[in-house]
Amino acid sequence: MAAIKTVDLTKKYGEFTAVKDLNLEIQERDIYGFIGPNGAGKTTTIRILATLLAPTAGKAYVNGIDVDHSPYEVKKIVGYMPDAFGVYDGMRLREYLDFFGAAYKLPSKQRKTIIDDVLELTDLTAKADDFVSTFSRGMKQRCCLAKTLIHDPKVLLLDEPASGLDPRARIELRELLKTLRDMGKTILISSHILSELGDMCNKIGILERGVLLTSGDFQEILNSIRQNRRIRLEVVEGADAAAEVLKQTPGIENVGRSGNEFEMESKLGHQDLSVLLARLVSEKIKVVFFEEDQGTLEDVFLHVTKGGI
Amino acid sequence: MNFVLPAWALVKREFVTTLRRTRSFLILVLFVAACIAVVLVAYPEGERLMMQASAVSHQVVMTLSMVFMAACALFVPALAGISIVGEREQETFDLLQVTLIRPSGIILAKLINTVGFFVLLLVASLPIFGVTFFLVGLSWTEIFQMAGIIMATTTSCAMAGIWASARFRKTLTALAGSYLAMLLVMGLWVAIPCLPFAYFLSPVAAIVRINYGGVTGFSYPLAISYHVVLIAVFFHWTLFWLRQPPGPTKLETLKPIDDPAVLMTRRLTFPFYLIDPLRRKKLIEDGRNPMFVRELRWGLMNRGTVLARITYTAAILYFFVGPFVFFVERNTESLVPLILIQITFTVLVAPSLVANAFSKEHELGNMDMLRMTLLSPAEIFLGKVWNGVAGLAPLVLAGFCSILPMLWLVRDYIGLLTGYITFTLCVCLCLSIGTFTSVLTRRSVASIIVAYLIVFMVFIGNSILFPFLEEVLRRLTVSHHAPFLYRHFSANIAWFLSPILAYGMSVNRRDQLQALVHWSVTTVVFIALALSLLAFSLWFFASRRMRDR
Repeated sequence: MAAIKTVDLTKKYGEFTAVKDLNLEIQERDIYGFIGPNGAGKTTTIRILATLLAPTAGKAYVNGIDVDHSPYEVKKIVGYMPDAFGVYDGMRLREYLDFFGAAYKLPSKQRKTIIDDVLELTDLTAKADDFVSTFSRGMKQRCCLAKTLIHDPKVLLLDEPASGLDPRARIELRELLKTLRDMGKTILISSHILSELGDMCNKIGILERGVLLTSGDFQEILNSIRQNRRIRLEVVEGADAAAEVLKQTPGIENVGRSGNEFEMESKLGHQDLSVLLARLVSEKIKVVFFEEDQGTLEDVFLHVTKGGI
Repeated sequence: MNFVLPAWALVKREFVTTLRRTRSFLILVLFVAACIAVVLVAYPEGERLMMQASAVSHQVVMTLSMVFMAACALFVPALAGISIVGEREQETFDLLQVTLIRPSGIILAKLINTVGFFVLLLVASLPIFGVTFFLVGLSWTEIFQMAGIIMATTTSCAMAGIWASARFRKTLTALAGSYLAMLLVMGLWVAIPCLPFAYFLSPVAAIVRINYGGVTGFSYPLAISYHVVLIAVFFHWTLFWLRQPPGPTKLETLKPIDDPAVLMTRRLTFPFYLIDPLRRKKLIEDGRNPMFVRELRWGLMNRGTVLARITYTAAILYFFVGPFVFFVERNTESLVPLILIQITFTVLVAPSLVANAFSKEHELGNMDMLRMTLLSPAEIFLGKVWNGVAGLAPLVLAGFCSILPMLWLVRDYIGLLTGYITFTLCVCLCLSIGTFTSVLTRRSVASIIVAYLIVFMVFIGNSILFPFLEEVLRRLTVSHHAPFLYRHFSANIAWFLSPILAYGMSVNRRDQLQALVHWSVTTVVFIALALSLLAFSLWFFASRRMRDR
């Protein structure tokens, strides 16, 4: 059963269509990166899944439960972290989590242990008795994530969790999400920081102007948009000879040269590439770098989206 | 235009943003409707028109001028009071300051925008004003003098509001400051009756004098000069505050008093023992509404100092003023001023305590997180309402304590009972109206302003409408030969227009039983109104606010 499923999901604000006929399917334990330019409809979709926004048409399911008909049941299994949120003045972190624990109907006997566990998971134990209103942006993000995890939800909806964080806080957040993935959570995460999503997501979906342009396994999408493999080569000596070899090798095309560095497109398989490398070495060319360019999420994003407003 | 006024770009932006708002259109419609109603009711009929045209024309013009002054008092401080502080809160003020527009240009643009909107109201009402020209007895001088007073008052009120907006860093404080400054501008001099020329400095008094031919000597130039001086002084002060660098953030204000020793001491003092701050250290107990517990332990306690001050002030005010009034008046009717003082104080304080309950959650960005929990709409709503009750309870208690010495002094037990019930009813009405506006809007400032307007209408405004209703009904019934209906209306309807009016009318009536019956019915009607508002608010919150459409 899909952890998250939408069927022809549509949301309109007056004449403006924010999300149009969205069909999405995310399996359990997936980390799904939801990517799109500003105003693409990511937050709208996430808010519909979080039961906070009524769709205009279509259906959305979380663990098979219809979000429109059974929002209470959905809230039990969903943890939602909004992109913009506030904290209560005058509450210490432990009190803040206690309030949300009580609001999620956790019995008081279990609550203390759960709060300790969540604090440890989010590395906030040392800050448990500090006032949440005095936290930095990064600490508030963690605090909100701790609140999101307090009722042990199966599905996490994280809307731009890394926005406004410094590099260290981003790395820490990435590690934390990996831990959550290992704990078996299904995570839907929207972000603009594509390099980070590429590192942690196994599946991605690209949304533009409310339309899902592509969705599926990251590597498969990457391969589908690239007809040829991209190879990078760098030599210390014999650059001219290397250029000659590459020119003579069938299946190597569009060779670009910058000094001793080469970039080319290849239709060769692994076996043929190893033969090519052996030939370069046998020609007394001093090779220091020979690698296939794996491609990034940026490549996919730029290829799939059209840009514009 | 840029050459004449360097801040012209700002003026244009201000006008565009003000006029695009729906509320500007609503204000315009309401204002014109009020003017039409005034002229319809005040315009004389048939024979009266011919016989008393001059007197009637003065009466119509004066009533219209009073409508203008009321509009000035209601809208100008609100518009001016948020002009700068609003930009600060939206973080657009820094962007404005780094442009080449000088601080004086910014002030001027804000002033032109505020006064310009009021001029728009005046222009819209000109056709109605023109009706008075069909009457006789008005001179151009009188009309221009009145227009001068109205415009001068509007400009000085706007300038005072802009000063408050520059002086204070919080919207609510700025608004309160703006309305206080308006009251000073408009009414300060009326309080000095020993100075006859000073009496003219009150715009309302000036309009009355102009209408009844009381302008002599330097009175009029003095009144205009007074406003010019006010404008200059407030302009200078505003400039001073705009040039002040922002002060350092007071970190200590982020932390409420949390020292166990202080809390232990406070636990023993009124009203903190009601709340018991040390309970914050405990986990929220099972079976209790977490929303209510949060509101009580953290929401109420965080403003505990403010509440304590309000309560102590109320208690002192009630304790001393009641017996004082009694010894001055020396009759049982002295209860009325005491109850009225209690109600006035509560009406001034209560809406600001409760009217931001829900809107504040939206503003702080907490509403989404609250809605995602397993709390039902009723739990969230009742948590907030009970917090309001807990916040207002000390005021009701202070009122009750002040009644105790009056029991011995006055010995009018029925009067005391009806008075105290009316006072409690007014507190409940404030609570329900505040909750209602807070659920309806997402901005605290709008919620609080609307709450005060509704409270004003329910408590006093309906009574102001009474003469209009009476006149309309008189004309309708007379034309249909049904004077009984008119007499019945006049005799009884006033009871049901306001709980305060009903209480005032019930005191010391000869027909005590009938008065009590009327008062009881009115009280039940207003209790039903309070409960209906709460029920509607809960329905609205559950159906519209738990899930966006």
